[in-house]
Amino acid sequence: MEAAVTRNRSFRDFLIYLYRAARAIVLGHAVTLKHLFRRPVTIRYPEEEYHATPWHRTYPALVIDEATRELKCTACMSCERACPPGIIAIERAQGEDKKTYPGEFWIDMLRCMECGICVEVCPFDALEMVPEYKMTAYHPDDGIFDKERLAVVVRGPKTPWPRRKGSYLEGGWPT
Amino acid sequence: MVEGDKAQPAMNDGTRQVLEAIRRDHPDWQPEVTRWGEVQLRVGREDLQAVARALRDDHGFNYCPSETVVDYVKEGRFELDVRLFNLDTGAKLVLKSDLPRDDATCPTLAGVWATCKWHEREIWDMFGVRFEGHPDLRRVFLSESFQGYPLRKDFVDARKPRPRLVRQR
Amino acid sequence: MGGARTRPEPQTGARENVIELPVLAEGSVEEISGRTRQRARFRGDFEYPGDDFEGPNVNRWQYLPQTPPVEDLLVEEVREIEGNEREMVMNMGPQHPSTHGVLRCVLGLRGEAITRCRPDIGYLHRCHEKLNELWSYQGTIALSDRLDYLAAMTNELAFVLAVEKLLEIEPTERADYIRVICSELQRIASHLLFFGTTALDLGAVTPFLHSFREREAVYDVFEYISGARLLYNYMRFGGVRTDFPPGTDKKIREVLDLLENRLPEYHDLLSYNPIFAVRTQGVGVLSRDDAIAWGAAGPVLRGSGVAYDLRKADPYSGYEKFDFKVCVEESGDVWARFMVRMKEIEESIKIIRQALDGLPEGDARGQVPRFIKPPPGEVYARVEGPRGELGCYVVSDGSDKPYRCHWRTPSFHHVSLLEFVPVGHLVADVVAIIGSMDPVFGEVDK
Repeated sequence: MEAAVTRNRSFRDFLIYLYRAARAIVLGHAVTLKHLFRRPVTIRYPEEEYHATPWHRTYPALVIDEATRELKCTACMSCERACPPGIIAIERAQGEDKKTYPGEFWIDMLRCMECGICVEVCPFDALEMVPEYKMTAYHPDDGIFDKERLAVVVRGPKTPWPRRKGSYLEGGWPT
Repeated sequence: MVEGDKAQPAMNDGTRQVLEAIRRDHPDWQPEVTRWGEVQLRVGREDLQAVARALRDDHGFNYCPSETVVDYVKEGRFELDVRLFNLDTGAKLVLKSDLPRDDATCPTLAGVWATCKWHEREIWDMFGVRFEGHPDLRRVFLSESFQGYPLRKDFVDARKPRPRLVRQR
Repeated sequence: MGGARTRPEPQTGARENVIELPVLAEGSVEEISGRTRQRARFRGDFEYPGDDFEGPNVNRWQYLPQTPPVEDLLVEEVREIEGNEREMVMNMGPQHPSTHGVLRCVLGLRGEAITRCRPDIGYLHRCHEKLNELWSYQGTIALSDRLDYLAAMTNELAFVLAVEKLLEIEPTERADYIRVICSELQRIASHLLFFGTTALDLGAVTPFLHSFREREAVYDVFEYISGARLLYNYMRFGGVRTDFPPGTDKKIREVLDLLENRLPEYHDLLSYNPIFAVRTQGVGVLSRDDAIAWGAAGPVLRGSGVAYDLRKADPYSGYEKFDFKVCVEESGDVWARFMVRMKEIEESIKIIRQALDGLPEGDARGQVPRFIKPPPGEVYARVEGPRGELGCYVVSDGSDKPYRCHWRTPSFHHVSLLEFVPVGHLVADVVAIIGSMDPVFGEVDK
C-alpha cells in the first residue's frame, strides 16, 4: 500500500497524487463497468414475487387438521404462558365431548417479535410459523389477529423446529 | 452445584501468577478463586481506590471491561462488581465491594481506569450510587428530569401503563 | 443540526438572521434572545433562568415532575472559559445521517476546529437490562437479538454461554462448530455493513450498494438456517435451535466464494483510493494507552496496535481449534480501524472454511432441562463480537428469570472515546471518526 499523501505536499507529490487519483478513478469505473455484464441481484417486487424460505418465521398460525377440518389447538395455554411479550390471549371453551378448544384466540401482531417460542413450546404442533410476509393493513385494529385470521392449512414443508418434549427434530428435515 | 466438585478450577497461568503475587505481597487481602477460574477480591469501599491502584500498577491489570452493581434489596446492600483483565498475561480478576443501600456512595475508580468514568455514569443513572470524586457524574441514558433509579429493585414506575390491545399482563 | 455557520463580526441587528444556536462570543447566555434559547433546548427539558418564551409548548416531559433547572452539557463549560471570543457550540445530531443512529455530539468549535466534544446518548434507551429481569431465560435470548441488531448471533452467544456456565452444561461438539460458523458469518455481515456506511459517511455512495449486496447474500444463509434474516433467536442452552438444513454447506461455501471474489473489488473501489486515504490516514488517532485505558475493544483496540482478541486470549466455543491470525494495525487512525475490519473478513472466511471442513456429526442440541432454572450464582461470559468484547454478566437467584443481567457492550465505550478523539480535527473528520468506531445504538443505549 502506498503511503499516505501528506497534506503539505510539494509539486512533485502533487503530481504523484494526481496519478494515483486518476488510477483509482479508472479502477473504480472498471468495477462499475463489470456490472454491465452481471445478472442483477434485485427483483422487481410487485410484479415478481419474493419467495422466502418455507420455514421463514413471520407469524404463528393455527394449524387446521386436514382430516377433521378442525383446529389442532386444545387451548392448553402453553404458548400464552411462554410468549415473552405476552401478546397471545386464549379463551378456553369446552365442546360436548369434553374436549377443550380455543373459543377465542388473539395474537397482537403489532407487538409480536416473531421469535417462534410459542411454536416451540406447543405440545400438539398446533402452531406453525408461516412465511407470509405481506401483512399490511389499513387500521391498527387489523393487526390483532383473531382465530379466523390465524387459521391455516399447512401443506408442503413444515417448519423444522423441535417437536414434542425431549425429541429433538423428530422425523428429520422436510424434503 | 457442589463447590468441591471442581477443586482445581481452570485457571490460566497469568491468573495463577497473580494469585501467588497477591498472597505474597498483600496477606490481608484474602483472595478467593471463583468457579470460573478468576481471582476474586472483596474489599471495603474505603480501600477500593488503593486496592485498584495497586492492582493496576503492581499487578498489571490495565483493562477494565465491566463495572456494574447488583441490587440485593433484601440484604440491604449494593454489590459493586468490577471485572479486570491483564492484556499481556491474560490474568482475570473480580473486584467486589459492598455498599450499604441507605448510604449509596462509593469512591470513584475513574482515576484508575478511565473507562470507569462511563461505567460509573451508567451506574449512577440506573442505581443512584453516587461516586465521590467523579469528574462528570451526569445521567447517561435518562433525562436529568427523570425521577428515581430504574434498576433498583424497589423502583416503581409512576406512569400510567400503556394500553394493551390484547391483554393486560 | 448542520448549523455550522461561521459568525461574522458582531453586528447589531444581524443576530436574528444568522444564529441558529447560541454563539457564546457575545457575553452570557442570558443575553441571547428568548427565541434562540428555545431552539437551544435540545431535549426540551432545560429551563434557563429568565426564560420568557411564550409559544406552543412542545415539552414532552411536561407531565413528569420537574427538577431544578439544568444547564446544557457544554454551554456552561464553554461559558466558564474566559476570553474565548471565538468559541461556539454546535450540535451534531441527534438525527444526523452519519451518526449511525440517534447520537448527539455537542461540539465546541473554534472556526471549524473542534475544541471539545460531548457525546450525548440515551435516545434509544429501551430498558434492556430491566426487561431481562422481567423475562424468562428463553425470552431473553430472543430479546438479546435486539441489543446489537447487526450482530444478533454474537449477542445470543454471550448470553447462552453465560447461562450454560451457570447450568453447568456443555454444548455438543457440533453445536460449537455451528456457533463458530454463525458468529463468523455474523462478523462478515457486520463488517460489510461497516464498509458500506463508512464509505457513505465520507461521501462515497457506490461501495455501500456493493457491500449491501453481499451482506444480503449472508443474510440469505441466515434465513435458510434460522428462519429469520436479522433477529434469529437461534442459539439455545446446550446447542442451537435446529441443525443446519440440508444444503447449508453448499450455500455457505457459495457465499464465501462470492466474497473472496468481491473483496478485491472493494479494495479497488474504496480501500486504496487516494481520496479515501487522505480522508482517513492520520485522522482520529487513538493511542495505544488511551485505547486500553478507555476500554476500547475489538477492531478499535486492534487498530491501535494491541493484539488482543478474545478468540485467542480467552477462547470460547472451541476457537482454539482454528487457525487464524489476529489482525493488528499500528497507526491507530481511522484507516487502521478500517483495515483491521477488512482483514478480519478474510480471516473469518478462513475460519468458516475450516469449520465447515471439520463439522462433526452428531446432535446440534444436547439434553437440557425443559424449564431453565439456573442455580444461584453469578457469571460473566464474554465473546468477541464484531465490535469487540461483548460481556454478559448474569446473576441468578434460582428462579426462572435472571436476577440481574448486565451487558458490557463495546459500542458504549467506543462512543465514550468521542470525548477526546475528535479534538483538534475538523467537523468533517468527526463523521469519519464516528464511522470508524462503528457504534450500533441498539447496544450503546441498551
